[in-house]
Order: sequence, then structure tokens, then C-alpha cells
Amino acid sequence: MVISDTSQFPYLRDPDVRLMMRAKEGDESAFEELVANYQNRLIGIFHHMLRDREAAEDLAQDVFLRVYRAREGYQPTAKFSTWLFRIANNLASNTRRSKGRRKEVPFAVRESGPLGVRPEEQLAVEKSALMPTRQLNKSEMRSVVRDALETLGERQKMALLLHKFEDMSYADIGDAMELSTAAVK
Amino acid sequence: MNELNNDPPLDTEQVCDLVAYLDGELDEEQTEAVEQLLTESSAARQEVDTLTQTWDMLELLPTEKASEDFTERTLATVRVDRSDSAITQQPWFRQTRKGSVLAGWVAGLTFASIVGFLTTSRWMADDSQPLLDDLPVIQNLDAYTDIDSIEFLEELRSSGLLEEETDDDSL
Repeated sequence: MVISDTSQFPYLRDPDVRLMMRAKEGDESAFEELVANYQNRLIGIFHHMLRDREAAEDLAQDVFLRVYRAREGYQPTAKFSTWLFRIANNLASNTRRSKGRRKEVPFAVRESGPLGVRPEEQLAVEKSALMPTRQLNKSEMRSVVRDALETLGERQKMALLLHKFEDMSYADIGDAMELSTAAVK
Repeated sequence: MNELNNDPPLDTEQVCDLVAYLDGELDEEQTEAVEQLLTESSAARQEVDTLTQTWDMLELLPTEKASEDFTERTLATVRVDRSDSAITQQPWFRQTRKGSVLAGWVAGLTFASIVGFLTTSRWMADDSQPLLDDLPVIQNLDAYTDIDSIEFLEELRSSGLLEEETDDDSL
């Protein structure tokens, strides 16, 4: 079946969806283009999640392999990035479960808000401990940000990274992570 | 700071709304409500400043780039996977696999049957064996029942009478 009606499939306006449709038809160069478009973004997300460069590349490769395997049954029912990051999120969750990594930080409601000790508070505490004697240099700040990121649960971290670096809306993040928009918020 | 202390602390919902406001995720009505809160509450304004600074600090996280051969390796992996799956999709492969599975089941069942037979015939008690062993007694049970004692039988055997009668019977 050739799908070309954008009124019935509005996501066909997404250029990456069109690339995926070409890949579905057997166009290898289209798939290669998708890999080129998303490899840095996926590796970036996975690296921030896992703090392990090699594991991040392995997972990203696995995501592309799954995309390729799924190409024949692909339907343009969402933006390509949403679909891709849904696969990425599932893969990250499976990896997390299999490795028995860190547990989810509960959404405890306290003065700090819905996320418990929030990264900005973590940052503020660490920052105040060093000031005013000197300003943090860039690498120290980066380390502080990374540590603050580590205080988040895996799902919170994924949602934050998707929003910050992929500029995804709450609805798209919810779609990718199979959460309600309210939960993403 | 005095101004901050006089403001009631923000509740969870308000903080969530501030985050969503900065993310541009509120509808018109909610946006107006948050903007109203911001005009009234210095705590809310302070919160927004903190959130904005924090959000900006995420820019400090390094931008990752794939290794130079990542694309090539990924495409090579995909090609290998495709050729593997192409073989497994061939009719002959599927038929061979089905045949192998069937042959495996037949071999397994046959082996299980042989093992079961050998096990039961060698180690399990045979109920008919004691009957076979006692067959001569059973055949002459009536005669043995009529005789009261072993001693009498011993006498018959020693007198040779029993052999003669047996010989007669055989004639």
C-alpha cells in the first residue's frame, strides 16, 4: 500500500517520516540519511542517561537496527522523532531493568516541589558551598550539572533531556515515553 | 529577602505551572493565571529566575558526537541482519527448519520410549515372574493340599513311589 495522502496521514509532512517511508520501500540511502540525522542525538541522550560512551553507541546502534527491522510494518502515525525516541526509551528501560541499575526517584511532594530535591536546589547548594571565595569554572559547573542530573530518576532524566535537547513538547514526550501529558508535566 | 519571606511558599501545582509556563506548555487561561501570580508573588518570580538559570545551565552538558565509523558500523550491522533474515525467510530454510524440528521430536520420543522400556523391564518388579516360578506348585496345588505334612512327602520321595507314579503319568 502506498501512503501519500497527507490529509489522512498528516505526519507525512515530517521530512524524516518521508525518509522512513522511502526506507520502507527499500531505499537504503534514505535509511542511511536517517542514521546520519539521528546518531548524534541518540548517542547524546544515551550518554547523558548512562554516562558511558561505549554503551551509548551500542544502544544507539540497537535502536537503528530495530528501526530497520520494523520498516516493513511502519505506519506514519507520529512524528519520526517521537517514534524513534519511543524505541530508544523502551530500549533504555529494558537495559535498565536487565542491569538492575539505579531506582526511580519517587515523585515525593515536599517543599521542593513534585520532583523532590530539584536539580536547581542541588546546584544552588553546591554552588553556595564554593562561593564567594571563587566562581566555578566551566568544567566544574559541568560536573555539578551532571551530578544534579544524576539526582533525577531515569524517566525524569529522559523527559528532561528530550525536552531540552530534542525540543519535544510534553505531548510528544508523553507519546514517546508512554506517559500522560500530566505525568510529563 | 524580606519580601520573599512575606510571600506564602509556592505549592507543588504552582511550581509545576511555572515550569510549564517557561516551557510554553500552558493554554491561554493558565498562562494568564501564572502571569498574575508572577506580578503578585516575589517567590514565584524568584522561582522562575532559578528555573531559567538551571535550564540554561543544562547547556553546559557536552554535545556528544558519534565516532567516525559509527554510521558505517551501523549500516554494516543492518546488512548482516538483513542477510541473516533473508536466509531465514527462504522457503527451503523454513521447510528444512520445520523438518528438523519434526525429526527432533520423533528422535526424542523414540529415545524416551526406549529408555522407558529398558528402565521398566530391567528395574521394575515383574508381577508374573513369581507365578512362573511357582507354576509346578500351582499345578499340583490340589494334591499338595490333600497331603498334611512335609514328612509324608519326604517318605514318598524316599520310597521312590512318586517317581513311578510320575513315570506312569507320563506314559
